[in-house]
Amino acid sequence: MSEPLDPVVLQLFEEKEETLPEAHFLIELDARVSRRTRRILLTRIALIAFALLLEVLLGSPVRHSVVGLSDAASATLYSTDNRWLDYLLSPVNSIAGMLGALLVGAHVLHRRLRG
Amino acid sequence: MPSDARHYAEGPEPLIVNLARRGDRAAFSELVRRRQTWLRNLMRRFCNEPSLADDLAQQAFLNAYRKIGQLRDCEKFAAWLKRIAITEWIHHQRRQPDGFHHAHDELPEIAQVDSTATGLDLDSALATLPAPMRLCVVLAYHERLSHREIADLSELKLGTVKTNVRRGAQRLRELLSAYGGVDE
Repeated sequence: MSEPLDPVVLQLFEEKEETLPEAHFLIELDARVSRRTRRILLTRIALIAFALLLEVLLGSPVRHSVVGLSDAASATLYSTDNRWLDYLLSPVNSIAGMLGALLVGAHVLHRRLRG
Repeated sequence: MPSDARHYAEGPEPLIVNLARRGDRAAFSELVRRRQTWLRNLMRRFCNEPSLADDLAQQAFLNAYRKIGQLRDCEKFAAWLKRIAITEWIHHQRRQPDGFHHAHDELPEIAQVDSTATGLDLDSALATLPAPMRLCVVLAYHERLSHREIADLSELKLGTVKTNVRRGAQRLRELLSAYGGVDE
């Protein structure tokens, strides 16, 4: 339990409270928020432009990598010798499917642990 | 006044906070309008320089704008903003030459306190206290927080907080009575 406060000091704090003019403060803050938003947008545009430039100059390594990863992720883990069954099971019978299921499980566990 | 601004002015705070969380800038502006007097007064108690206090208050609001998407409970906006403001002031203080060090025995003698004016007001008196002591006194007297709440916010030990509040208040009375501000 906290000790009682000194009434004299308490009164000093209460008397010191003042209503402050807000117009200038709000205008300045609004300008800072706008500057921040603009800075973030320009940074993102610059990063995207740089990434596209690299992609063009280096012969599309990202595109080739994405295609390769996509082929690997969709490869069937276990073949059933039945083409239609393979199609039905493909959402889970692949590396991508397994990763997806793991992520969902991790998310559910995380939510439960955080209460 | 635009109709949105008028509606926000009448709305309950949790609703306005929820809108701000979803990126509504007008809603965030309404939150600033409602809380700016309190936050600027709090920073003035910490800083004793109105321009610095306003700058820190603006920085606190800017941090709140950046992080408001992470706020889970809209009812706790005030406490959440208070924590951001206090953290901002502590970070500012750590960048100063004195830092945020606590020293029980390093209160200056009253005669050494510089007062070129005819008296010493509350903010000037608070500025003579070491930063951790000032933080504890302001949170106890301005915010009416319990010692435990102050310890949680400041990450100081509970015993340190109790000592700081008691000695800080005593010191304020001594200073202000020495300079004619209050009767002892």
